[in-house]
Amino acid sequence: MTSAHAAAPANVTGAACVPEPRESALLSVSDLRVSFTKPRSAHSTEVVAGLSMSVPAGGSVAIVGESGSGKTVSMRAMLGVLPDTAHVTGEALFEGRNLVGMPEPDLRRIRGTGIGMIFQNAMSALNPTRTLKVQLTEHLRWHGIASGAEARRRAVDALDRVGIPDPERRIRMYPFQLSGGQRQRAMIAMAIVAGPKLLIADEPTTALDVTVQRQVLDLLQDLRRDGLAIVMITHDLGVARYLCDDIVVMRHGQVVENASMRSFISAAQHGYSQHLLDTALDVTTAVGENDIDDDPVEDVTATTALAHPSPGVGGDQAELLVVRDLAKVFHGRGGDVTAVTDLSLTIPRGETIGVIGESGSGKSTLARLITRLTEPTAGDITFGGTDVLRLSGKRLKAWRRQVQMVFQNPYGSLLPHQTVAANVVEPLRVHKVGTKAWRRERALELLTMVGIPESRADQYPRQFSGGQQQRVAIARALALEPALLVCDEPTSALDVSIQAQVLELLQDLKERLGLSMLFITHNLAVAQRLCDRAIVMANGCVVEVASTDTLFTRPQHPYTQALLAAVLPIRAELPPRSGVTAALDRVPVEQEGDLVEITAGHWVRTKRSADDFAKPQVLTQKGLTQA
Amino acid sequence: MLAYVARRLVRLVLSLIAVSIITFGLLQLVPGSFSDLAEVGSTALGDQTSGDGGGDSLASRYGDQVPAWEQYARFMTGLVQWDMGPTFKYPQSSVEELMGEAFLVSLSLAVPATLLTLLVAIPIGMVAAVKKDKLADYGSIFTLTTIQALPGYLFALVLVLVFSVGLGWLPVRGWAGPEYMVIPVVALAVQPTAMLARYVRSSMLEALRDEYVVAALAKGGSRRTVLVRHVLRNSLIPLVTVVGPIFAALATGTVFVEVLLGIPGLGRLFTLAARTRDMPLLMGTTLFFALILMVMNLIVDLVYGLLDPRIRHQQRTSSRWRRPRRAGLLPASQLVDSRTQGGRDDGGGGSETPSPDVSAADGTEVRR
Repeated sequence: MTSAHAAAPANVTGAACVPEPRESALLSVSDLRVSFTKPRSAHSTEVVAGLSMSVPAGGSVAIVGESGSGKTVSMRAMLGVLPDTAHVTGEALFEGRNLVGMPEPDLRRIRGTGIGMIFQNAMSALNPTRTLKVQLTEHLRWHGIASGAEARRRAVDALDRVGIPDPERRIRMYPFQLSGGQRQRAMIAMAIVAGPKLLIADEPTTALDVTVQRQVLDLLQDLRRDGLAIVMITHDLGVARYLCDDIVVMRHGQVVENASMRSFISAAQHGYSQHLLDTALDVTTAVGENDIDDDPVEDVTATTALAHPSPGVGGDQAELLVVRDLAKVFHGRGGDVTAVTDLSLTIPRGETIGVIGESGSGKSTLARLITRLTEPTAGDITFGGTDVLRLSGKRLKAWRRQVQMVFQNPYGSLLPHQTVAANVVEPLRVHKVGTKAWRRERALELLTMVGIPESRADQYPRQFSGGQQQRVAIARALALEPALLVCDEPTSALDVSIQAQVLELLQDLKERLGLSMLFITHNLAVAQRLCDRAIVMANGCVVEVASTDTLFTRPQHPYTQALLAAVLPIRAELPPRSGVTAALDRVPVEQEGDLVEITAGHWVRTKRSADDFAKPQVLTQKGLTQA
Repeated sequence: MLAYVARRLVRLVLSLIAVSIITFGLLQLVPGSFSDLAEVGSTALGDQTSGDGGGDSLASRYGDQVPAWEQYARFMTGLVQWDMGPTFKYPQSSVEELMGEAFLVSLSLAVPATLLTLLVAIPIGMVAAVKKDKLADYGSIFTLTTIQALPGYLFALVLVLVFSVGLGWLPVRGWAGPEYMVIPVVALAVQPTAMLARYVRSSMLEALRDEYVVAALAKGGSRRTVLVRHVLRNSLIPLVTVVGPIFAALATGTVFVEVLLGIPGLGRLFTLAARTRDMPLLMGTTLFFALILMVMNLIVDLVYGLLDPRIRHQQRTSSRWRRPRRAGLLPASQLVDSRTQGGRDDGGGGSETPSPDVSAADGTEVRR
């Protein structure tokens, strides 16, 4: 059998075997089954069909699978926090005591003091109307651990331990008064304040920006170092690999693979595991050590900032879209909010430009400005020689045919009461293109193109899976044969393997139809996969523009470097944590300054002159070094 | 906070003025001015000759020779000074006297009826929510829906039949002591109870779906503790918005029950005023109704703020969270944090988040 502990990875044979429940295991689950009975019916659905796994004291196990695979349900069933309609059988030994069927008072005590739980969305996992103090101390009182001033002291300690600054003040706050990262930390503090031995983490970083995700994962790693065992439920192999020693892969409620992380990454046994590994997008950031010397540093054509820099110009290709000095200021009662400022970009015909940024960076506002769904405060937008901002009425409507959008949430962007065929031809109907029969033909043609069979054309959106819905949305966007497709996070609501399929479809369409795309994403791997060039945005302004190759291997702006440093590779060597922390700490510098072209087509916002970049920094496997 | 209340009060006064103009305008269109009534010697006018010559003063206030705007201005001045003068039907008593007496009667029904509503509706709604899809749920919801569909005065009649006529425990009608309150209070409370219980149920069900319930259970709270400390509290907050109008409606009198049971409350006064085209009394009662409703709404909003820290925060600052123009000056941790928080006002632009749920949902982008 495989040692489940990272301390002895040498024993790993690469074979997938099921660790047997051992005396030493902190938690050992065997043949856990969960089924739900529907109200007023004898029929029951089995959601978890025989989960077996074990977590050694202080160990960490990842449960990986796509949505609906039973990851969350199995852990909640173990803790007995599912609704009454759930029926749980099997065995879950925690410190030798079976949690399944345990009397409620005993189980409650274990829930409170032995096993902690954290969730994906701290905003909803924390009660919005109670202060942190109440939520961090109430269970100390329930279980007789501490009360009054002592409980409060413990809560403050816990907040301090998870890295919340000024815990004495923040403990009096309500969840909504904290930032996203702090809320996540506060939730972790709530789970660990009673001193549990095991933490069940249910996708705790999925809703976070990459840099914040990295910080929260580092916090979890620190807690592990202090002896806390962790079960990490996630769909992100990078996260699993970063934090965990062992991995359990679930599919349709069953375990398909149970192995040490090392052997899983190098030689996954089960076909589905291999599929997950293959479809997971991995960012390749580091260039090999040897490549550094070959860098064409002499290519540096140092030009100082132009009066009107137009980064994104690629060669002689005709420009489809030129944006100059775009700005958008929202006027609110509390003052003005600058969403986008000083933004210039060019999309050459047939190219895909990625816009990378974290939430609040203004990337979605940019999409709305370019499509004229929102009016800019200042700047010019030229589309194929037409001044877009001067269009109105019929001419604006005619122009809209050339620019179409794909949104993040496919179900929300399709009309639920229309068949998918009707959805696809909606734009044709709006623009009065073709006859009804012709539109029908066109709908079938478009659906076939995105891989939806004709036989399903008359079904409704809800009858399709998320990935298929997004295909329909893409087909609809292509119905008018637009010159530019603006995609706003089109894959971030989808499961990993579905995401890969949709990206493949977009890549294929791009090549076949010669589409130009503006692709907005927070996911660096997606941008790397699909985009020719990319723009990095932070706080409403562009900080770096480069071809994706350059951007991912020779990032110059500290913010880009921090983004890349926070990425969790699946296969590649992890960069040392100290380097990453340093990169994250340097994030806010150099927001000021101008965009400077440091090499052909590589623009960086900086106060320095281009000459300072003659020896560019290079991200290697050892972190950032001066080349 | 003070600024918020002040702003709301200004709005309230403006609304009241609007209501008064509309009411006065409509009453001018209705046939039967004071002089018309006097000409035909209508019984709608009270004893004009007796007492201190009220007839003269009425004629000088509302007679044909007085232009409409002056009638309006004089009434409104009176309203501000709480001296609205005599009414057509009762020249000896003033509008405010009549309303004051009637309001006290209505209030002494409304307060117990509202309390009764709360006491009965919340437990029923809770049980129905916790026992969702079980007999207790179906049974109570079926009963409540049926009751809600029946008019309140029907219950008054049934209660009179059973307890007054049949058993002889309670007086049939009138207003002469505490025993006269029982039937009207119960009759008034029935419908609001049915409505509120259904609200409680759906509000509880919504709160039960929230993840903090699982989080609290995972902390080892018993179902009962979690229900009371987290779910009940949060699910009752939105109910304040329902209870306010319920109270306002009861306090301004419910016409049917008051007329039926012979209770001299505001509802009866209002019907009387409408029947006799008593312009000053109609103006007075309408404005009073409007005032009570608006004050209740203001109280509801303030109580909402008291119960929900998110709303309190909004009211107190009364300005949106502001993002710094350039983040370059912020320390590292703050920048990282502000970036995650930025999602909240990213899409919203200039608009305010209308409800706490919306701002909660927008706080973080959910990505899968």
